[in-house]
Amino acid sequence: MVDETAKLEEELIIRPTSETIIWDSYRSWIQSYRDLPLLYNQWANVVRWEMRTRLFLRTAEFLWQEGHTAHATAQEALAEAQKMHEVYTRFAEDFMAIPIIKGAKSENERFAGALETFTIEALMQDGKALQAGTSHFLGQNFAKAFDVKFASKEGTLDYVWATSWGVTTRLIGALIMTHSDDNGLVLPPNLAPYQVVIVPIYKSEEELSAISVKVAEISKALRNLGISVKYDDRTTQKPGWKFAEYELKGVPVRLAMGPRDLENGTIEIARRDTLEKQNVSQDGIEKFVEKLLAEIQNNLFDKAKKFRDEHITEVNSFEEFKNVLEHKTGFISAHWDGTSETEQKIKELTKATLRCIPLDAKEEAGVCVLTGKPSTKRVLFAKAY
Amino acid sequence: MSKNLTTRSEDYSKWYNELVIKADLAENSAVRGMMVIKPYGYAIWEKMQAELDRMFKETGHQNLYFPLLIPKSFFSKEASHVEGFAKECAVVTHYRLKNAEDGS
Repeated sequence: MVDETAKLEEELIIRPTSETIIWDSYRSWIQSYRDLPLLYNQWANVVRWEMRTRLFLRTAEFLWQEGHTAHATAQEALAEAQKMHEVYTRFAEDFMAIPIIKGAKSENERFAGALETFTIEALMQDGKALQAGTSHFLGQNFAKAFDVKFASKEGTLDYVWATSWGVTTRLIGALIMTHSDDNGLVLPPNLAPYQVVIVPIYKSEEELSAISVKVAEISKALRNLGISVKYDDRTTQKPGWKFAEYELKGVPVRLAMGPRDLENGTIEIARRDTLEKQNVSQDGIEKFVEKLLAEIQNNLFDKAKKFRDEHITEVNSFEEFKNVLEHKTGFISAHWDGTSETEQKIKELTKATLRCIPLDAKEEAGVCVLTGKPSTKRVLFAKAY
Repeated sequence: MSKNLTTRSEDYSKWYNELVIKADLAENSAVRGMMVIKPYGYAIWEKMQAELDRMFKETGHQNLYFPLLIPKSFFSKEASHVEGFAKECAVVTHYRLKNAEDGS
């Protein structure tokens, strides 16, 4: 039991995010403009006591990285927040094959303490949006709270400007709900723990050893191209079991080799994204696989982008708004009067939240779908994870 | 191996939960709301970490590490910050256990 005599003099919070403790240290690290900028990141776990949790998507403890930077000017800090927003976009699109809408959060949805929150928003297969990463321009709020001042070139004392930015293990949930299918996980080659699995098909020990010799050559050629390979020669499981297992685990490319392939110099190649199979020559198989992996990576992105683009719907009335949300789902592009009250009201009435004000939203005169008040651009609403 | 995932059109949410478990990515733990990330799921996270870390360093950032625990008073220094996180904060109040007479 808890020893009541061992009570902490000052209670401690398990970090939900680290701005406070970091800016408390920055006070002693920063005296003059020569000490700036500070461009730091930490990989850590954090705890936020969530009541309704789901694996990866919302857990009381999660893993993340949190960047915390300090700058001499507002412009520089804002540029940093935008730069990391772009880094997250590149990562999500080029690495995870998840198409992104880059936007800014409304005041209501901003990070607690931020002047501006940039977000990357993704669309899941069920038509719900998912915030996949955020980058915040914090202004001088934390410098003021922790009294972090610096002497400028001109000799004046000013508060330091800040950013913070983070992505979490939640991205794995986004990955699953962007690409996977009824047969299981589908992984983009760029982040598959192994990109190729090779399964031998044999009846006797001799056949297995002959196949294994050939597979060793192929594996080596693949690894020389930087492709990760797993050879599953376990005798405890049948090939059919292995096929199902790797399909479920989303391994991008499966190679299978039997005695006849050995005779003919062929190999069976199956791609996870389309489930297509074909027999190809063992000759130059490494180049074939390399090309196929790139094709799968691109195909997954294109497929997800097509789905996403088909699920951005412009609406011009609240009736239409509710109708699309109910039946078609996805992002709803609508005029909004810019107030938190209207945003809240829409949320109460429809459960849709304002996902972001897209950075590329064009100027367009219109009227708010709820209040009829004037608006200058469309914003995106959706139900969200 | 038994695949038989619930299909997405049947029940998307159930499909997701089953997939995470069957693909051996993660599972629930003894602590409600906290997950165990299993080796295959963690391997995916490591790939993500490696690429992000590379991108951060390429843009001039360095890694460091701060403590897990933060003095409670720090949180009230930035008004909107405390308001945003207060409702989900776990608090450490004691630093020792002792044996109770009934052994609990």
